[in-house]
Amino acid sequence: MAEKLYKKRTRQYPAWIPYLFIAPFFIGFAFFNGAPVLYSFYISLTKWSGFDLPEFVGLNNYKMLIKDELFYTALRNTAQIILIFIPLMILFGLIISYLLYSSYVKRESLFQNIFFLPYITIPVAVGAIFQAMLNWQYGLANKMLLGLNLIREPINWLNEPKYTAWIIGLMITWQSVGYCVIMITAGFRGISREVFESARVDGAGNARTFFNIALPLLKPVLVFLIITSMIWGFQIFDETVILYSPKGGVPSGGPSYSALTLVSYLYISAFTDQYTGYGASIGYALSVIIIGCTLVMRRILEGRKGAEE
Amino acid sequence: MKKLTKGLIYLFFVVGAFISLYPFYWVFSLATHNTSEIVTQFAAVPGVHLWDNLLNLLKKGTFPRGLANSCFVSITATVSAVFFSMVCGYAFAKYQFKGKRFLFQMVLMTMMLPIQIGLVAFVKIMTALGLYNTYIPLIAQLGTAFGVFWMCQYIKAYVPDEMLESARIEGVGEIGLLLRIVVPVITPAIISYGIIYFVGSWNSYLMPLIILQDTGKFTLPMVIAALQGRFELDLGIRYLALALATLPLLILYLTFSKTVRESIVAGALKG
Repeated sequence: MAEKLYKKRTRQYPAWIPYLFIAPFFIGFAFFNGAPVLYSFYISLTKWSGFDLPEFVGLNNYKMLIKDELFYTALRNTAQIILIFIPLMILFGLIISYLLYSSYVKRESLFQNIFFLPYITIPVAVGAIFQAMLNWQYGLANKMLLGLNLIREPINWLNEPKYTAWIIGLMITWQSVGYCVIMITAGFRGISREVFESARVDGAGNARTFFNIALPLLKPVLVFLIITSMIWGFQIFDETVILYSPKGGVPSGGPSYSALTLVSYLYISAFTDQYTGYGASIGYALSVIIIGCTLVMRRILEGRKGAEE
Repeated sequence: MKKLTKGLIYLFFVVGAFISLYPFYWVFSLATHNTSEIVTQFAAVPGVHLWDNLLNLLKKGTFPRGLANSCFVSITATVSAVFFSMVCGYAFAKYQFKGKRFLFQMVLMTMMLPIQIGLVAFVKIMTALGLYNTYIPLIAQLGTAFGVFWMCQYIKAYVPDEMLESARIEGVGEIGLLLRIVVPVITPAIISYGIIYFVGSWNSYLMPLIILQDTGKFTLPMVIAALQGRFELDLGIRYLALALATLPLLILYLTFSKTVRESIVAGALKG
């Protein structure tokens, strides 16, 4: 209350100044985000080929969506990718940053930089690099395996649906381990070294120090990484599209739609096939899935932490 | 035993570093070979066709064009996003006004919305306004919710009220206050957010893909994507373009690696 009075008394600027300052952001937001979000919802209630006039059909698109096999394929593919890359990325991120932090390995920032390079590379280029490596004719993977006599015939990696989820999952792991390393290292820095020292004095072994002391203290960073990576994973598009693109970056879905992610399905429906209304309903469904999963994961991960304390 | 463990750990790091780096090296090596060498050889060492590939790539013209387009789009969008986020964040940090709490809550709420939710209508609206196939939807960035939040927190923490009060008494105007007093103090926040935004804009593919149509307007990610298609038969050109496309950010990163790393960590933890 006192603070409020003080501020009122000493106000030395015209009252409209702050509104002038916040106006551009809110105008831009209303125009580029607010209006599209609302209008998209309306579009999702229509049948619209994009050229003629939209025809109002109520919840029809959503009814179609819950019966659409391809939508479930896209959802399953996306979920598989997320379930592969998040555990791997966290696991390697933890191991690498723990070893760097406990100075088992010198040259911490050199290794951090090396692991971080894939993360700073254009995602489209990441997809293209993997497309090159897995090319059946001249790719690195086949050349190495043939050279080592592990396979007799070149494998057409990108044409086999059974490899797709792992290829994408490992590609994303390759891309994002470095990000986890710097995030978790920052988390380690927040823990005072004395905590580790005293654990060692008490005779706790390396493994016990790691599991009983480091891991609980790193929980906030790990929760953050898991949740944001999950959100990001649901939106995965660029890398997979280039990796499985036969015609220069236009989403195709890969062999037997095994590389169809939710966003590429949205793209194909709305922009390639011009089912505008249906595409808009996929956008809404995707957002509901993302927000729902975020809330559930928060509940699970942070709730357990609450119980422990 | 100790030595063995240490050796194994080092081995793990060397293998890890190799896995991280070798794909880059291999693509750079491919860029120096011609098509028939790429198909028949391993390309473990660089070849001699870099110059030919470079001339052929430049002859096509799409790559330099894409690079220039990307520079224009990303730099303009970053300057605009940083400026307007800062102005708005400053107002939330240092002014009292009606509806402030509600509006700030709105900013925080909007950070949760995935961009795909309004994507379809975004294209329709831009088309209706005649902005389809122009750069305006990509560069007219009047600030981001994250940027506003970020600037607001930083200004609250590092710009004392007394500093602003005394400058006001000396007769500095409100805009002068922001540009002459606040900006010098919050330069680190501006750089961090600028880097995060620039990288995002430079890398973005979905937005330009749905907005731009003319090949001449394509940004770098779109040019790379187009060159990876089946229709590009000269593999030397293809991989030279890919190698060159990864370079600008790698150089940016290796020059300012500490700042970039710290920005990303700070941005993630505060956002």
